[in-house]
Amino acid sequence: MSHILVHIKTNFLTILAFTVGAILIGQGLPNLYYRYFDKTVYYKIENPVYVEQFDYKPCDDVIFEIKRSSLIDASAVYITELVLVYNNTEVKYYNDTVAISVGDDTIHAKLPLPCNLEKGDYYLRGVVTYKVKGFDKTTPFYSTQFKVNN
Amino acid sequence: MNLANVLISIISFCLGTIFGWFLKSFILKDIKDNDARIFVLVVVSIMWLASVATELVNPSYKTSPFVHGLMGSIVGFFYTFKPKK
Repeated sequence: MSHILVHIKTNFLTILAFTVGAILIGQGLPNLYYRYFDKTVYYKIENPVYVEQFDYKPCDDVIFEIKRSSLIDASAVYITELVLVYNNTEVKYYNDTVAISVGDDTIHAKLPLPCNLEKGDYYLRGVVTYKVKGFDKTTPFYSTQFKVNN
Repeated sequence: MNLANVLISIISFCLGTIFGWFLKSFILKDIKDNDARIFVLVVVSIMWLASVATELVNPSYKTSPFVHGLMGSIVGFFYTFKPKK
């Protein structure tokens, strides 16, 4: 035992260098990879996202179907814009946090149309943001068009 | 860290120690101390590399910095260790 203790005392700096090196490489290499090199798409949405109806009135709920596929379990933020086709401008903005889980599934979501919405052709577009190893990843999506009549 | 994880860690450590003793006492009893040193050095190095590679492939997998440090210190210890003659 004393032989081991003497060895540790004599080679303390070398052992410490290996310890620190292992921590730096073990922690740093995956972070470096996921920050700069990882191009994997962990969360996919099949585009376009289909809106259930073609005709809506202001104040109606737009129901749409999202077919999604995920390689990870995570929390995701959906940022969705209601866009007027005529001049491609955002009319309303929606923000929602959801849980995503590994596998494929289809979900039906709904968004309320503003009650003062002008008639016209609209569509939804947005981006889903989620984290992988602490780094942000995004997945865009857009919907089919629908008409709003008064 | 909960009680179950602590118990699993203690049990794993005890089983590993018993396995190592059994290996050295009955299967590798004629192995030279220096060869045993190199054997442990290689095994721990491979396991550490495997944990880093797994973390690169699977983003859900995470090795604690404490475990990295422990494996590095074991490698450092056996890298410089000279068995008694």
